[in-house]
Amino acid sequence: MTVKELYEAIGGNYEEATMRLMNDTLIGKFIVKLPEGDTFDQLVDAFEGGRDQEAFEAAHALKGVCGNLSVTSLSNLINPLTEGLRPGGKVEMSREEMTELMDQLKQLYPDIVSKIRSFQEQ
Amino acid sequence: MDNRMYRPENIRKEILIVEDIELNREILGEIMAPDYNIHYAANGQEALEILRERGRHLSCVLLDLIMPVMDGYQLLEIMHGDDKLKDLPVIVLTSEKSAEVETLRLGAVDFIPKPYDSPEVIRTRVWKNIELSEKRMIVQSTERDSLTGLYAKEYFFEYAEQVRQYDLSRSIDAVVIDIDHFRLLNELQSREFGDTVLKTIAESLKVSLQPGIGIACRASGDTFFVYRRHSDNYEELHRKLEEDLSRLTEVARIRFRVGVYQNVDQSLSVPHQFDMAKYACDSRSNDFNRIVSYYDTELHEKELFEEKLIHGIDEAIRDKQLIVYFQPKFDITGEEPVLSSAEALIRWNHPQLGMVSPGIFIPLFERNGMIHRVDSYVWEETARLVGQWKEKWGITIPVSVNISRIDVYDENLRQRMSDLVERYGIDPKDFLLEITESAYSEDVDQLMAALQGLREDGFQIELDDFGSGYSCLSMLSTMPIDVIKMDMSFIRNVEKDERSIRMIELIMEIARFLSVPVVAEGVENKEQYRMIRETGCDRIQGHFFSKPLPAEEFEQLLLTEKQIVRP
Repeated sequence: MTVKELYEAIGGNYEEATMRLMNDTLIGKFIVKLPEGDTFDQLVDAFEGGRDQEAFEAAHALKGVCGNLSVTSLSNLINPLTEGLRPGGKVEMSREEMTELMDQLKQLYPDIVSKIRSFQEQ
Repeated sequence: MDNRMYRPENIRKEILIVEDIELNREILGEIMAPDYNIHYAANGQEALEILRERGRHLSCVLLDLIMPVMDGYQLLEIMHGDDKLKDLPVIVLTSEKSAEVETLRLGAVDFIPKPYDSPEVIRTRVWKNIELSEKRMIVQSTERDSLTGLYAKEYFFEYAEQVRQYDLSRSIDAVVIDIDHFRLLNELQSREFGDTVLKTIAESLKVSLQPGIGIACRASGDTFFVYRRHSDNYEELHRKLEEDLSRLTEVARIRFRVGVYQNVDQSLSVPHQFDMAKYACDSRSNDFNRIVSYYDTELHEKELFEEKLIHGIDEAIRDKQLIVYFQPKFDITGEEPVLSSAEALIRWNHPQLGMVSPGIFIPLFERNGMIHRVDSYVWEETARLVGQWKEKWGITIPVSVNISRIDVYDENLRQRMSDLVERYGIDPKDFLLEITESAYSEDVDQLMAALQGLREDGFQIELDDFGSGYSCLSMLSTMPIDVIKMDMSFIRNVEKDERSIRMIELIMEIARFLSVPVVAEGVENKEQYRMIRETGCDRIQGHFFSKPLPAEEFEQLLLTEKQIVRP
């Protein structure tokens, strides 16, 4: 599987990634680091525990990473969630809406992780 | 577009990336690595440690805002308040537009949004900001003197130019402040102390020159210039400076001089105005009680007069305006006074200025280093005449010449003197060297070596103006001297008070102890002669016997004298 193919599989924007990271070697080097952090677990844990500040920080971190790696499918979920969680933020989002986003993330994220791992192992 | 063309060759700059998310750090590092050496920090605290250690070498900081332990805002604040860090450009990495204003206020210079832009854009932004920052530093460093924070000299003159053009009707003063013996201060105390003195003066000036009153600069190592609204009185400035400096040390007293040129003539250039203030500053040289000197017409005329002398000296030597006169010295130990030797004195017959007294031009030339020309001329002429008299008439008359304080430390002096006597066929003991007592106050070891060398070659040393200078008794016992010439001041007062006679008797005792003869200089009347004679003084020089004579007249005197008593 090429990097481009991986990106297609995970719903990432390959063109954008290339613009930022120039070549497949670099993109490949960094995309495999996505599963390494425990930020996602922290997000889930904090959100379910009602610790919104902590959840916001984790979401914010994740947002940055997904943005830099151009994993658009994740960004589409994590970005609005981050704004919803932002303390004093302008976006008013109900608990329900945020839970909805979280659920989608909980499905998508592990799936993407396993695809990246397969890519890595090849 | 290859932005490598913006990079000067061979210089890899160092930057600091502060970002808590490892992946982001790495991506940024990846982007910047081709062009820079990179330091990493995961939060503000780590960044601060790196800044404290390597701050001087860093060219730029890429700073994330949201970080644990210490966030970007806090770090920015700390950097902004730190003299060493505030000029280091910080580019903030942020996805929050709202953060932009706040970080600008805290001193950030630019933003890189998240997710990151193309590497080209990021690298260019970093490079541009580094370049701008460097340019700013250069301007700052040329504008200001880094030690005192005052303006640098060139910038000061430009600023002064603008000040006076802005309001030509305003009355302005040019002030020069000069520290005495600054080099000595550095050596005796330390360089740091010298720097502290300079900073203290600078602060004092800054305080007294509130905005609108004037500007100041450090014009040279130990000199300050001030250009300010006119003031009638500078004693307050003097007093304040003394007060501020006296707080620095109880041990050393830091002396300085102030020269003021008030109501500057605006038809003159600013540097010229400061020349005049400097002239006033330097003019105080002998009056140690006067600290503040004002440039005035009298001083101005003196300055013009001195300029004429300085410009005229070479011509004077060439055209024989400088004439050597001889004042006879008489031995008075016998029944009748007998001619024993003479002192060669210089006279200047200036075509416009008339007879210029050596009392004026000798100190002037000693101050500006031209004395050597005058002395050389006198020595040469004297040697020539003495040789001539010997050859023509078979008469050998010892003549003494003056060696200035400056010449005595010239390492070529010994050679020059030897060559001179050899060239004109004179015996060294007929060419006496008069050295003024004030020369003895400077480098004693060097002086001693110089005098010993000369004596080895057969020359005799006469200590001139004895009693007027700084020599101490212990020096007298170690210095090689052959004759003591008492300072004129003793003779002048001898009729008036008992003390002078006692002083002379004391000097005679010293001379006897050293086994050297004494010459009393400046004897003007019979009464002085009688009193001096009674003290046992050996020789006399003065108008009572003979005023200084031009060569031809002295030659006549030589021929009529029946005998000459050798010194």
